[in-house]
Amino acid sequence: MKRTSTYITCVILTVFLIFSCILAFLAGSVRFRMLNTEAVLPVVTEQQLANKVSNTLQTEFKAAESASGIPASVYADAITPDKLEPMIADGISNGFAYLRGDTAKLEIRHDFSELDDQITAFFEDYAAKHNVIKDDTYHEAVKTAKANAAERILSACDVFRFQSLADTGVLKTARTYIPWAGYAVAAAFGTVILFILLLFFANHREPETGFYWIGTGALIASVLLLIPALWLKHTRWFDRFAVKTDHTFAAVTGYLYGGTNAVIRTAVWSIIAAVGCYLIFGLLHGIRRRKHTIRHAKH
Amino acid sequence: MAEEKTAKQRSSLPAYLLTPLLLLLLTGGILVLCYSLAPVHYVQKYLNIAFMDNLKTTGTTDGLHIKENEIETVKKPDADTFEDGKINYPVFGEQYAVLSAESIGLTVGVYYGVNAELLDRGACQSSQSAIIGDHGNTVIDAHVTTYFSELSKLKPGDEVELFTNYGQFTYKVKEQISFDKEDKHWLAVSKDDRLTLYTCAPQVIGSADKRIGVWCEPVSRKFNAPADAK
Repeated sequence: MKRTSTYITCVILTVFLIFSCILAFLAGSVRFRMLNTEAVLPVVTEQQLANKVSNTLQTEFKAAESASGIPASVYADAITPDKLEPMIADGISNGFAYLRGDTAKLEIRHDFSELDDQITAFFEDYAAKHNVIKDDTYHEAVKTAKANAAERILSACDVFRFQSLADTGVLKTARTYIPWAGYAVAAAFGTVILFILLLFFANHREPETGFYWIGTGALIASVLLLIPALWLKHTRWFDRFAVKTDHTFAAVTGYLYGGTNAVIRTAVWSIIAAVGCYLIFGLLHGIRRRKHTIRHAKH
Repeated sequence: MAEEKTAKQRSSLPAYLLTPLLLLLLTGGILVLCYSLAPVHYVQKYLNIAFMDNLKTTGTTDGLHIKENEIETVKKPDADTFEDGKINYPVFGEQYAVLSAESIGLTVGVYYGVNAELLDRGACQSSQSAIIGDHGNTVIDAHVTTYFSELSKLKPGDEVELFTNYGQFTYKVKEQISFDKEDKHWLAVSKDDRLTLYTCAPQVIGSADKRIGVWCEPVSRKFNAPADAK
């Protein structure tokens, strides 16, 4: 009877341990992977975002030629991948810092002085060829062209579209919850430790059985995370996202696949830990059985 | 006693093996239930709003099926045509007419609807304006840097023709017009039948705030099919 009640107590505690482990996994993934700039930045090179942004901008400036009258070649030097890459990286760093509440403003550090000079030179050339008087209208046109070009480039470098997310209020909502991620991680890990201790307490007569239940909890929590993560990865599920802009698609899917890989790695380590717990349980249980057998043989 | 204990330990082996499986099913079921109750649609809605066109499969071409039609631009004799007839209503993105103004050497396809992609291909008719051949104000625009670069040279009295697969429509330029881009007076619905052609006013460079063009009054309507077919 006692064995049955201990068993049921352990089952209940293990269920709680499993959910605590899943919450700890998720909270830890958000805090240390999804919001960690260092973990996200490799997506820039892995997904060749600078090349993709450069191609997008070239297409956009080419398409705008007929409306603006400014040849795409005027912008060519300012939108090379090597010039865009630092801006993309800065946009990502700043965006995630904003999300974590580390900075109050969404911005991308940039230097468009070279681009401004090229636009000015083009207008000067145009004005000279067409005898355009350099009045207020002329200077306003130059100013507008520079502002439009800068806006277009900065918008393209915002590969995760933080500005759009901020404009629609998504970031504001996220910013109110994200600072709690750290506390959530601490709380989740604290709960995991609490249930581990409770499992040992429930099995204080046979402490090695505690390792069995802990191993079971870790194994099931890992499997429950591993199965969907493997499914997402092997079906290339995020590729179904209908994001039209090439670089945004690459950034978002690259980021999500990176997160999925991190979950898979953590789950695999957790399974190894679970197997370790089972081995400890088997070893200690075997020793206890041998001691019993020897003691009863003596009697 | 020892045998009893060993038998007890043996009997707990299936429990040790089955427990993880049962716990997996139990917790998996709870997770599936939690997921089905989670308000994920709120997240999806916000993301759709945030990414706007960028989250759609195609941006400017989303749902746009550009269709080119072979349109005859040879004038038909009056005897073969009717003053009233059947209009074939186009779909957005369909090139359903050819605009011709001999005085400025203009011949350009007219697409139904206006967007950047269609403007790159030809002249565009605002989908809020009257279909060619119907009653009201038919509004057509194009880029000043491309198809309508010579539009400012159209003078009152010049003839403008629109060829469609259901008829040919001739207009005469009544007046040159100039208006602010926010001023919708010339582009609004009108009680009389007219054709309005406009483009950006050429300026130093870049997009202009001024619009220039002409409005034309109808001279003749020649439908291919009789009115009762409408």
